[in-house]
Amino acid sequence: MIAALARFFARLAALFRARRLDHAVEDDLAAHVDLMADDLVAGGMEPSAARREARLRLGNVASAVDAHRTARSFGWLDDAWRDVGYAVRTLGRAPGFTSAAVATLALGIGGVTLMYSVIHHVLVAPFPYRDAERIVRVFVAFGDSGMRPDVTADEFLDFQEQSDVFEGAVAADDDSAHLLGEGLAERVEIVRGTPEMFRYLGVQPERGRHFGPPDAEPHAPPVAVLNHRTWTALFGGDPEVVGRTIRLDGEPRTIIGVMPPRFEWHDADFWLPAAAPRRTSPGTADSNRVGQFYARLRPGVTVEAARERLNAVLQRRVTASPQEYPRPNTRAEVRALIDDTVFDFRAVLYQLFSAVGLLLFIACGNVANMLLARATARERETAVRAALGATRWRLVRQLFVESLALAFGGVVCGALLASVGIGIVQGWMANLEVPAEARLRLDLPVLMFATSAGLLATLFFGLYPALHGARRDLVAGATSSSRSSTASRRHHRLRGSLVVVEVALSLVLVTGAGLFVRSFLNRTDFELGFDHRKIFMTGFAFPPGPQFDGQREVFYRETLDRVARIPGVDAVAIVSTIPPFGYGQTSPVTLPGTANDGQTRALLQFCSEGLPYTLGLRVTAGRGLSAADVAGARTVALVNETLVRQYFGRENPLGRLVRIDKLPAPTTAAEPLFEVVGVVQDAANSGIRQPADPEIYVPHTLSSAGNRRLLVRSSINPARLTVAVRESVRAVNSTVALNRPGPLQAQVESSWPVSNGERFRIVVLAGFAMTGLGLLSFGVYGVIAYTVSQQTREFAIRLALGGERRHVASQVFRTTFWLVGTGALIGLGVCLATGRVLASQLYETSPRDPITFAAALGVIVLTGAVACAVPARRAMRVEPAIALRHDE
Amino acid sequence: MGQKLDLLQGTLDLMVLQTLASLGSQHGYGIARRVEQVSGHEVLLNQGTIYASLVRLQQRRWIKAEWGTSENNRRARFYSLTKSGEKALEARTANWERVTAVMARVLRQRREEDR
Repeated sequence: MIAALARFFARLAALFRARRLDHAVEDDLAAHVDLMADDLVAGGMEPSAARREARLRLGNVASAVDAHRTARSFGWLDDAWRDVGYAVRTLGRAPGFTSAAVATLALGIGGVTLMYSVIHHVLVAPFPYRDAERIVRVFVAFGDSGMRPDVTADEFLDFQEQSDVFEGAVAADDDSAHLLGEGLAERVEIVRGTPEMFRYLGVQPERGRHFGPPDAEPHAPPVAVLNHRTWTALFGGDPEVVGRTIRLDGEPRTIIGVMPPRFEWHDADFWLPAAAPRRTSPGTADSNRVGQFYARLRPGVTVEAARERLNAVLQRRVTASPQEYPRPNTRAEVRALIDDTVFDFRAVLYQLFSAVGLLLFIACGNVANMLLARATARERETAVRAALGATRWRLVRQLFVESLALAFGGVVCGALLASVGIGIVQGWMANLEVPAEARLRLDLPVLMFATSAGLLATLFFGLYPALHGARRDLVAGATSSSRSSTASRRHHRLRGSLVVVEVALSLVLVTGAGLFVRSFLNRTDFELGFDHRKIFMTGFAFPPGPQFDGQREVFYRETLDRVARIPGVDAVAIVSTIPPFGYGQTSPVTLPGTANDGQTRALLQFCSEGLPYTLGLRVTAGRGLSAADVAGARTVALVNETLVRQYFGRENPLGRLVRIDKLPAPTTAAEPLFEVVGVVQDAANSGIRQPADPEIYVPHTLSSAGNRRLLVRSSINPARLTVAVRESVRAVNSTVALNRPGPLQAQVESSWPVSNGERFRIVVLAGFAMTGLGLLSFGVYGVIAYTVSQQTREFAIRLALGGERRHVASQVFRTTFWLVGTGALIGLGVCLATGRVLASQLYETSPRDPITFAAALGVIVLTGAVACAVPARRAMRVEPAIALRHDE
Repeated sequence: MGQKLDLLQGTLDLMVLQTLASLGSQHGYGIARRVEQVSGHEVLLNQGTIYASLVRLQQRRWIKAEWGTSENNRRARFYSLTKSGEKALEARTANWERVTAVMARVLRQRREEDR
């Protein structure tokens, strides 16, 4: 065994020292000749004759060296090197063929590699935490699908103390806070974590230290750990940040450390330590919450086992204090961390992966086709090689090595393509339902996948042509024009069926993409009544404390004035509810003097006078609110058309009074009676696809209850307004922060029903489908063009005998139609059979949507027609005299 | 040159080993000459094949090679047995003797039947 190994390594080493060893044996042989010649001379021979005799007796030196080489090496590996060299030279001599095949493969392999990278880095290994695959989330579930996201401190402790399934646990409580620092006023996300949080996650800080149990002691100095992203964005990456003191919600805290990039635990800007003390007096589950519970399972403990054990713990608690668990069917739930983050996006990724798999198949089909065509063209070469004594196995291997060389090129170029794609997709990731920690990379597992994809692809596209190409009838191949041989006809049928398969796969791909595009269009097909794309929106975050009580109206007024002066800003307004969503205050309204059953309600919009102009809504009757109305907090109102239609009918609402029965306090209105001074166009106000509700616009100065937001309409891209608006606000008051500033469009698009995951799927799927179509047209073109070139003589004869050119062309079209039609039928069948799996993910779209199917079919048929147009033209232009003379 | 004796696979290796065992360190030509002499010139080698055998044996670490100078001052590689080569020779010789004994018995039996 050991000896065998030693031999193996010696041979392996010899492989790389081939040159040197050849020299060594040559030296040996030279010495041999010299020594023998010496002997012969000593025996009385002439020196020159002696050398000749010596060489003669030594025998064939070349064959000795060869025997030597065989003895020291793996013969087949040596041959394989030679095959590779030969393959590279052969492929290099056909640069057109080679680059087309490599590019085709690169598209397929690049696509699957990209998708694999996404799946690997989003679903399999997204987290930078220690043993992240064993981290689970534990929560209390009740009823059929109810859940309480947070656990109490007692549950947190009991789950750990009364079970043996965990290696460690942490509770994290999400919150937001008002950050004040040197020149800083920001709304930030904070997480209060149990003291062991960082140790549990197993990540070391990049600067300073993270917190531990002493920092959560009752009188410990308050500390905070900073997110790398926030460090860069808010502190400009200041290396002196550790040790600085900031105020979070008014409380001074010292920054003790900065975490490395990619540490995004709960997407916090700051992590704060918090103890989890047991409750001393009984209470409800609402008191004493410590946040969401995460734990690392011991190795070998399954999620199911953990669920069972924790549920036993929880049931003991339920029995002990039923008042804390009033809901039926209360139980403990355990879920893997990744399942807690990704949800539906997993299905999207798997779908895209199958789609790109189809793409790779199509690419393989194309390359197989090209190889078969080439095999036919190389019949003579193969036949000659076979006649010279190459074994069939040797020929198969030779062809297969060529395929491998192509695949290698495909893998390299595919990896390059994938890295480009990864850069693009990573840019989209921020908006997707994926862990914030996920980073797409072209790392070792992904490259290994690409390589295996390449090898697998080689089996698909290379094996059959290789086996087939080597099965040659020597005489027929070497002597005759190959066109009449049965083998060619077999090739031809095979190439035809490859096209059929490609058409079927493409149809599946295009139909799938089409269905999702249609579903997407159905989702995005909404009319808000105003142009939301030009609007910038932000909320405000005020520092805690009484300093703004009663002062906010002044702040809003100054802010409006300043923001209005920003270049490019057309109109500004303060609102209490964001126009299309309408999660605002509603109130019963009554119209004095009209018969009213008390069922009338309206959405209240506390706004400044600029609102109709900012949204671009026309005032259809009367006047809008005036600056004086707002400044004086006059009890005047605008109403929308729906309110007029529903509550006033055909009567003129202008000048009428409306009573807002539940005007939110504190209010400056003595009596909630408002005079209607104008009517405003309807705009969406209760959801993106919902009809407008009755709405009443009143001066925001009338009530100081609730939050206000700033809307800005500008002629410049609203995404670029944040900085200017922040400066204006800071100039008014340096302690007020912006709350979620950004384009209104982003808010609209991220809200139901248009998710970013959906957008991602559409874009990627459409990309794959387009690539698939491109490959398909290429494949159809290849086959038809080849058919035409094979039939040139036939066409020429027909033309010479008086056949019409258009008949020739129509025959080409018929061939194409036959192939594409068969493929389309099969593809259609597959779509119909498998459509059901998509049904749940399509929005108001049937998985058998006839329009989509018709469009997909049209696209495929058109692709086929375009692909065969050029060969058909060539067939029509055959010149009988020339074609027949040139044919052998 | 007469009828050449066909060598069974592996027998040349064994001869080379035995030659090195009796001569000690020796160059390729010396080995070839010795094999021819000892076999009473019944084994007529294509002498080049000696080198294939030498490489095989080297790979098995049964022999080692080093540059040296022959009696008449020629530079040549000298081959010699290693420890494991000695053991291998012993084992192979025993094996060979058993095989030949068996072969001899079997063949004698056939001759008797023929009679």
